[in-house]
Amino acid sequence: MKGIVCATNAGEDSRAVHMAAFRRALEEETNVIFLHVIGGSDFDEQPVRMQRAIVEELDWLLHALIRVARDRSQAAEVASEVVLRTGSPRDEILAFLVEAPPTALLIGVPRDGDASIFAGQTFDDFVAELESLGVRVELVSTGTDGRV
Amino acid sequence: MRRVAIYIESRSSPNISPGFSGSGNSTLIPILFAAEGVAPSGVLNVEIWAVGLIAIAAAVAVIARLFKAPFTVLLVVAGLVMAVTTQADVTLSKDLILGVFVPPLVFEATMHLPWRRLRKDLASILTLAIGGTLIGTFVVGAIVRQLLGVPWPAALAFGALISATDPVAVIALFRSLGVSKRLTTLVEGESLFNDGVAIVVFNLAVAAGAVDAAAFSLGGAVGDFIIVAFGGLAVGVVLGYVVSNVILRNLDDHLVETAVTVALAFGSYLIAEEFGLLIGEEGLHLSGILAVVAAGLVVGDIGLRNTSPPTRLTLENFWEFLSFTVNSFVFLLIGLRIDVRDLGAHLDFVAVAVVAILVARAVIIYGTMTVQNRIRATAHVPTSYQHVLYWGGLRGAVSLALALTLSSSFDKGVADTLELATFGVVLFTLLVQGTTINGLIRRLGLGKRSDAVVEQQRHQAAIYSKRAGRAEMERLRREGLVLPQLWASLDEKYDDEIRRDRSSLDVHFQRNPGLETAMFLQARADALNAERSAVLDVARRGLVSSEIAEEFSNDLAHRLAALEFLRSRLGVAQEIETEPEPLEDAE
Repeated sequence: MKGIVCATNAGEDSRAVHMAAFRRALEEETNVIFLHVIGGSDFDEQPVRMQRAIVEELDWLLHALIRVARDRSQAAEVASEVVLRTGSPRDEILAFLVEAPPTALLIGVPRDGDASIFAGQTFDDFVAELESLGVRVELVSTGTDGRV
Repeated sequence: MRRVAIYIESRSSPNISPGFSGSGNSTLIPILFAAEGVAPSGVLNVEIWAVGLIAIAAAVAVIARLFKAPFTVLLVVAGLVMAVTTQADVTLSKDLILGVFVPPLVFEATMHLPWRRLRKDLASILTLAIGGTLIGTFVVGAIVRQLLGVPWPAALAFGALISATDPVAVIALFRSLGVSKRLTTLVEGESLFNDGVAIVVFNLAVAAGAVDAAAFSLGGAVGDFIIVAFGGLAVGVVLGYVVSNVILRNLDDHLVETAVTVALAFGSYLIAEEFGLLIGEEGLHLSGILAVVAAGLVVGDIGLRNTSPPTRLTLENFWEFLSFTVNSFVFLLIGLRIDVRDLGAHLDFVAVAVVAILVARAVIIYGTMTVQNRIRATAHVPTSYQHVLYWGGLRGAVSLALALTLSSSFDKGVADTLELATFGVVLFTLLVQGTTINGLIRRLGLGKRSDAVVEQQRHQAAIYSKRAGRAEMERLRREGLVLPQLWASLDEKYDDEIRRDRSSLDVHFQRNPGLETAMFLQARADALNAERSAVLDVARRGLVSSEIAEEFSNDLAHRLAALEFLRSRLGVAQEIETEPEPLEDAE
């Protein structure tokens, strides 16, 4: 699978990453895959039925946010899809990149720089691990304009 | 037409057996009753009384909404007006307030107070609740002793009872202004814990008054304080844990589970208060209010996670309704119980008490928070928060309930003076502080996130109104009432303006991405609720079976709960909130 993979947590800062992904896809004339992994102790503790409802509602939310980002980036012709996975964000992102190596991965820089965000790993270490898979990683500043 | 009074009696009882009886000697709420005949009595009286108060509360709620006025303040005003116009003679007992009214209010508030947030500021909250109540007791006690000349035990009892804060009016305002969750937690947490602490300290002061000075032991009083306070908390934790992990976890019946939480709210109070009877130590009473606080926190943190979404919805709706009803009763009755003419005749007492509580509150808030900020810099409480904590320290039901018992422990003259002072303070804090805190919060910029919401609504209103204008122009054109050229020019202008407003709204959303998520979550919740109503409607019309309707309804309840999960996970509050930290303390 080719294309640009955009991994976000659907939070406020994700808007910038979504728009940057569309702009990059326009430049490179490729598609975008929005990858979202939901997990964590609060999610894992939920009953299965509730987890299913959360994933379904998250899908609605992501589709809405991505539609808005596409309009704002004036990237109507860019094809996109949403991939939702459950589990550890670190493991699932790595697994997804191995299963379907993309053209590039866009990921937002956390506001607190190298804070430990992925299972005890710092952000810089995580990026290094992604790059070791041969994936081009582009970091997006999480301001409103989404500069890469 | 004859004026017929509705008689409801509340009989003061030394035991925890609050309620109404048909044989009491006090008359409540005479209402102009358009009927001839005999005044009803007994159970019917209670029913008429309750229905009357609920109807009045509903009317006041409508007025409060229309005029954007604080609901609880209007309830008190309504009570005052009723008291003057109907010559009502209201008798409230301590047990009625503490045993019947306060447990559901405290339980509902603690159930919705996230332990995660409370834990972050627990040190500040306990400093305010325990340290603050003790400081308040002594500062108010000293001023009252000095200026009103009441004996020390009575002065200290007054100091304790008047230290219990009641922020219902303030919390409602916080929600509407979009004040940060942290400040809300500080105000609400302080109030929930200091209610219990104030009652314990009050009882100790009363006990000290019953023995001579030589027999009083400070060490013994501290020991009693620890046993009563922590014993109450322990009772609440154990009962809350049992209900959460044994009943709520293993049962899936929204009606039974709701009933269990009701039993827990009242039962934890009763068991703690009468704990001595259970273990054969008749004189031992633990803090019932602190037991309810602990039980509510445990259910909120563990119990709700062990319930299914439909049960959670039922619980939320039930407790919201009960809290509304009980609050309405409490504030209407406060208004009814206060005799404004009596207060007017003793303004000097009231003035002394008001000055005393304002001085004590300043010492409590600015003193303890300054020390606490130096010791625990990580849990820094900004100065602007302290101003709100200071001015938001309203007094209410607990102070009133304790004041009603003064006459059983102190000389009548002293008890009457302090009871009057309590009513004066409650009225002052509700009518003066309760109506001006709004301005303070705005002035301090603590509701500024809601400015973003206001701005969003301004853009939306502009778009909505211009679209309506354009539609009207279109209608006039169709009916031949406007020249086509004129219409074309106006339509073009409308188009430009609507496009510009939409673009401004889009820029606003890009600057405040949380607003966009909040809008999505709200719209989605509205849509799911509409789906739920539609399913229930087709079931009522017999087009689908009730089993199918329930299956769909349960699924939609899960979806609504999922939205709440996402709201919490993404940090989006009901009215957008991301801890607006005050600029002044940004260091």
